[in-house]
Amino acid sequence: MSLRDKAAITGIGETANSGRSVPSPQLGALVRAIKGAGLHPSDIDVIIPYGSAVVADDFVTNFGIPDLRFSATTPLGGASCVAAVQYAMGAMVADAKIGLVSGYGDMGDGSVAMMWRG
Amino acid sequence: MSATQTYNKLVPEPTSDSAGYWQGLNEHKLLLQKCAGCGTIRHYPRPMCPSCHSMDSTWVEASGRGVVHSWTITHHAFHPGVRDDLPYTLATIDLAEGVRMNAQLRGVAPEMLRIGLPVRVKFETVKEGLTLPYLVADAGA
Ligand SMILES: [Zn+2]
Repeated sequence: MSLRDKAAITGIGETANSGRSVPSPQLGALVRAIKGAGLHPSDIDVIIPYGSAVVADDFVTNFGIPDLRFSATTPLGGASCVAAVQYAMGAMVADAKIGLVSGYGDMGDGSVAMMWRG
Repeated sequence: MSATQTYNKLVPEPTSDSAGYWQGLNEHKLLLQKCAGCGTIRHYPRPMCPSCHSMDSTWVEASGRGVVHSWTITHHAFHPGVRDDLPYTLATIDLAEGVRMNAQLRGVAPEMLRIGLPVRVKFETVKEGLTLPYLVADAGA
């Protein structure tokens, strides 16, 4: 089954790497992506976090998500975030509504987040 | 345990989010994060308010009083450092400020445990630079 045209990126966010705790820049970037898409953080029902240092629970607790439907990690080193896009699209096809993919650039300039709506 | 003995339990690694909490314990204060955006109190320390998603917060001192929400009694040493404590009671409590915390509950016999039992927080310096909270029954409540 092709994933072509099944989901789209609807928000992107970025923050500076402020030197705060590991989840902080990801949370900040994701909130920007979510608001940019006209949504609320607690609307999220799928989380594909970057495969190290954070877990889906970090986003559930900080966003106040009441009913997460699916989460997974894609352990591919720096390519995790690319594989995560495909996972998120698969979840959209499987009837989830709003997926969240987090990335983390630790090269000195922060964090990028993207989001899908099925 | 006195602070001069070797401490062989797991120790926390404070982050920029939690450093204020651990420093507060060293001063025998139970500090909770309060959102600077909407005033919601949250615990344990984390970067973002789950209500309004502000990342700005302040610290407020908790009353240290609460009631038992649930508990477990541990009889097996899952880490060598807790072997001398067995059996111990780990309680989840509802603090008066509306958030939950975990800590060892001491001095309450298993048959006296009940949901809603009033408790209060006490502090124990376990090694240099590390103070941990524990709970006792709150006889005055
Ligand atoms: Zn708030």
